[in-house]
Amino acid sequence: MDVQEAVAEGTASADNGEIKRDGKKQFSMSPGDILEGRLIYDGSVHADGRVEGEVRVTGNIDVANGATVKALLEGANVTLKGAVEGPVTARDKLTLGRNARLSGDIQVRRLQIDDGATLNGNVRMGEFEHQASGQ
Amino acid sequence: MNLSTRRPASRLATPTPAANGSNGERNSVVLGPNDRLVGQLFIEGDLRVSGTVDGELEATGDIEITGRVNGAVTAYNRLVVGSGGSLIGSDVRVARLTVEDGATLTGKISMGSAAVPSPKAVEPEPVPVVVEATPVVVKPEPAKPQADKPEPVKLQAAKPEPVKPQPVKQQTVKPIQQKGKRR
Repeated sequence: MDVQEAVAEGTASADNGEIKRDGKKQFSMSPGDILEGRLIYDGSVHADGRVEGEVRVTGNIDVANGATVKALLEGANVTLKGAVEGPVTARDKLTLGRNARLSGDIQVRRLQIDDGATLNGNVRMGEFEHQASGQ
Repeated sequence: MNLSTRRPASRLATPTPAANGSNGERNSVVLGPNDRLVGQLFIEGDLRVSGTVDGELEATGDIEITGRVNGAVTAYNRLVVGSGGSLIGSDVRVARLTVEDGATLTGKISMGSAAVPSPKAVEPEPVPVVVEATPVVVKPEPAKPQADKPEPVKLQAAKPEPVKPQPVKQQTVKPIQQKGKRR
């Protein structure tokens, strides 16, 4: 398994980027942050700014409005409000907000697309045979 | 209700949906919960499906699916898949898309104004037939022997033998001799 270089710029760091919410870890990014590489995280991620690479989490993924993501996303509940380019896997539910723009294949158990969102890709719905990769 | 009998392959530029209703309103077609469609449907206007469709749907307006649709769907404006709806589409082309929580959606999704084809683009492209021009060499054919000619098969049916009517032998009844006459 090749782990690419992960570079955190701006205000994001392991200290101020990670907060506890309801006893669960959350990695939170700000609009000026940049994440490049591969992130495997036991918790939830709030993605903002620019993300490139791969993000696999056991919790939820939330892509903020205005964020630019070119990455593979995998989480339990994935909520997109920004622009995402890449495959998305939601073990439970994928929600595309009205400003979301997703270009990539998705595999979800449940799907909600709000009016105004844009989706281009193949959609597969159903159960999952593999869980979140926490390795 | 004016049902268009034109097939996608033969139709021309589609007028604006707002102008094709008989009373000036937008045409709307509803397939009820007990309705079922197998085949291809093109609607100039809106389409609501709460029944079952196996085939292709195309509408110049909105399409709302609360039933089950199995096939390609093209909505020039907006596609709504309701919470109880199911769309198993090989190819879904829409300008706008709304999927409610609980809906089932599977297939290739193409969105945006560029994804929705103009009516002419819907026409199935004719398959190019490559005809190679091969020079035809005409050779004088030698007179074929008569033996090559297939002889017409003569069907010889078993000749039915004419049934000869058997003459019924008439048993001549001999007159009873009277003993008394021969002497």
